[in-house]
Amino acid sequence: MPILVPHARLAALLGETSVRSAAATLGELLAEVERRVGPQDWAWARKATLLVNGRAAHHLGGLRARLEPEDQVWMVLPSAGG
Amino acid sequence: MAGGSHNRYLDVDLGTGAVRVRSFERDELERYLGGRGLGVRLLYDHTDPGLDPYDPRMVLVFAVGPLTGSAAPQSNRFSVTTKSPLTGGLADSHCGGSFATKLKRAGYDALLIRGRSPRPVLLEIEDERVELKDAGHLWGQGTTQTQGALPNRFGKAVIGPAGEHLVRFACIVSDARVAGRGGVGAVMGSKQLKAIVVDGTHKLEPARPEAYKELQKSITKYLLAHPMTGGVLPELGTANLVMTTAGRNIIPTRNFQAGRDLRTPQLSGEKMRDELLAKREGCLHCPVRCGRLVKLQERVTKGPEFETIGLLGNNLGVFDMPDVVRLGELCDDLGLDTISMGNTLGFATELTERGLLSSELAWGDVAAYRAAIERTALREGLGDELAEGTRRLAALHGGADYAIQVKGMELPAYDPRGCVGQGLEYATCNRGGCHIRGSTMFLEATGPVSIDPHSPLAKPELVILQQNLNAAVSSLVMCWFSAYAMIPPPLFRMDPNSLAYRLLMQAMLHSGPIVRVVLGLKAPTKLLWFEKFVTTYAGRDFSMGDLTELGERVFNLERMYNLREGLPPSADTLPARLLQEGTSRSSPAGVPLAGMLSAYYHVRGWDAQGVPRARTLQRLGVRT
Ligand code: SF4
Repeated sequence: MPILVPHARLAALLGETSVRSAAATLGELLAEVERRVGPQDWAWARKATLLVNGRAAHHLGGLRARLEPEDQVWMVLPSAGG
Repeated sequence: MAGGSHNRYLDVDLGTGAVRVRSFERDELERYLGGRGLGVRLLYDHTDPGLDPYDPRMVLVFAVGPLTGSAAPQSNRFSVTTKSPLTGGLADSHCGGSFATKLKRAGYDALLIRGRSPRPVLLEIEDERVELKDAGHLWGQGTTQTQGALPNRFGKAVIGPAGEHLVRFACIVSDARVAGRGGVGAVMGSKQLKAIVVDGTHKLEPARPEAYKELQKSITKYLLAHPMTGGVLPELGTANLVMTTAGRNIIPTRNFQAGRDLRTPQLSGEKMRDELLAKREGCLHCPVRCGRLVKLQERVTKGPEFETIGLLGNNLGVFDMPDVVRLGELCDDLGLDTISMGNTLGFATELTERGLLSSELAWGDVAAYRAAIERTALREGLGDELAEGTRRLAALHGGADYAIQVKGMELPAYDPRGCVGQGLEYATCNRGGCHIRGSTMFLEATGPVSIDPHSPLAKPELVILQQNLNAAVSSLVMCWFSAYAMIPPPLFRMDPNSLAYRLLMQAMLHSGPIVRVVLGLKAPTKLLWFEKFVTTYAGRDFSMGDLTELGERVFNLERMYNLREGLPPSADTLPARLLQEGTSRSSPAGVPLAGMLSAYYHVRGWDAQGVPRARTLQRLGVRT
């Protein structure tokens, strides 16, 4: 099953650091998460870069991107350092 | 005395004991300013071509910058320049710690060390008093104990057992900060110089006190309000990068065989903050305070930087943060660069797995890694081979295609297959596999903008822009992390899934021609705080154009040094694994280096073979 790894603030809200899902597309997967946290929190939590196997989701069809069982979706926020 | 420099440097011959205070008689300060630029200028001028890094005639240059000793944020750092025992080309490494300010206070812009002492020595400098003292009692001691044995009032720069045993990636330590890369500690060890301590009374005053004070206040305020330098860096330290690099699939995993592990989040900055953080700390006068002190059961110790987590943790399958803390602490104490050490251990583990090397090393085996680190520092058993770094290890046992190094220096914790511009930057970096001489990955994969990390478009131009700016900032010896604050805060507020954001990224992806024009401009204005500080503190009217030209000049002189030392342009490449293998279904290809490289040479004003053209050197005033 595909896995979603949320960014830390969303993980705190969800109470877990990864979510397994049977969703067939990225859109379905995100809708599942939205249902769990509610629309208000989702409004800020979704403002993260969505990466499917390390590639920005919009290069793979956006919310329509199909998910395979081994796929990993990560949500990341800007970072910096060296 | 007003202004940012003393216009003199100290030249110490450890072989003869001769000490000379010398003034800069040519274009050293005028054209190279300080730090990295001054270091390479002095290295070039004071060594004959082809010297071995361990030849007594090799020089080791400690340099500070025009702002060192001021309260300008992120300016109290020093550089160390010499010939690298890893690459045979330029080594320059930078460090925080108290040494920089004290060297400037002693009345010098640089300290040039040559010769080899017949016995272990300590160099003590206090203004004009310069003494070589016996260091027999310190030889063999770790960097913590060595620093502890030296009087507190001094700024200190010391080596550990790794430097004494000429480990090719030995570092120099000052307080808890490290000049880590390129083997500068090994060159210091080859001179039997265990430690340098320095103090002084020569205070410089700002040239335009009111304007400088105002600037200092407003820039501090700006940095503290910025989402990077006032947000994630102070909150999470450099470990803030763990989750982003894992998400991007670019954090080294089992010697770059993969780009993450599902256990990677156990090493995150958030986890360190929530479970281990004791205190934030930082370099002198830096409001960012990105360093960490962490609690380990009974004691408080230095928390690991992102690179240490990436290479000694994730790359080796070590997913327990306290274990990583201890491995990093061990390397610092022995005087080993954590990046090269972790990378070399990863390579040796893969060689072992493939049956090419007989060793105890196995992914996640902390005890085996700990023992190997200790043996490396002392060059015992297998440690004697590990001490040579990945390239030489591959020459002994095979596996060159997956020895993850450039020009002989091991790569840091960003896999360039998910940030191809960073791949070009690695390939062309004058000191070998390094991320902090341009940090193009920030524009591609980790920062608030993401210029398609898998596309080569605009990357040659952006890499050059970043490399030039970096060479300038590190000639001021300011912390490169200040550059992250150059991205305007409103960009951080954009939704990366919005159409506006994607259109902006598309525009940036096609910005190559515009960046080329920018690279050719010499802007007479003062845009950033760097040139404003040089103007108000050092009293030298400095523009943005001066800054970028300085960077380009320094970068080209470094290139000329490498060419003079026989490092061919064919060394501008990446290991086969990174060129040929993908990392996932979504990233199935390696780095498309060849096309980017030829464009890069062209834009730099170099010939097709990668040699700077005479007219380029002339335009920049590079004396060879
Ligand atoms: S940002 Fe961090 S590394 Fe840079 S000067 Fe400040 S404390 Fe030192």
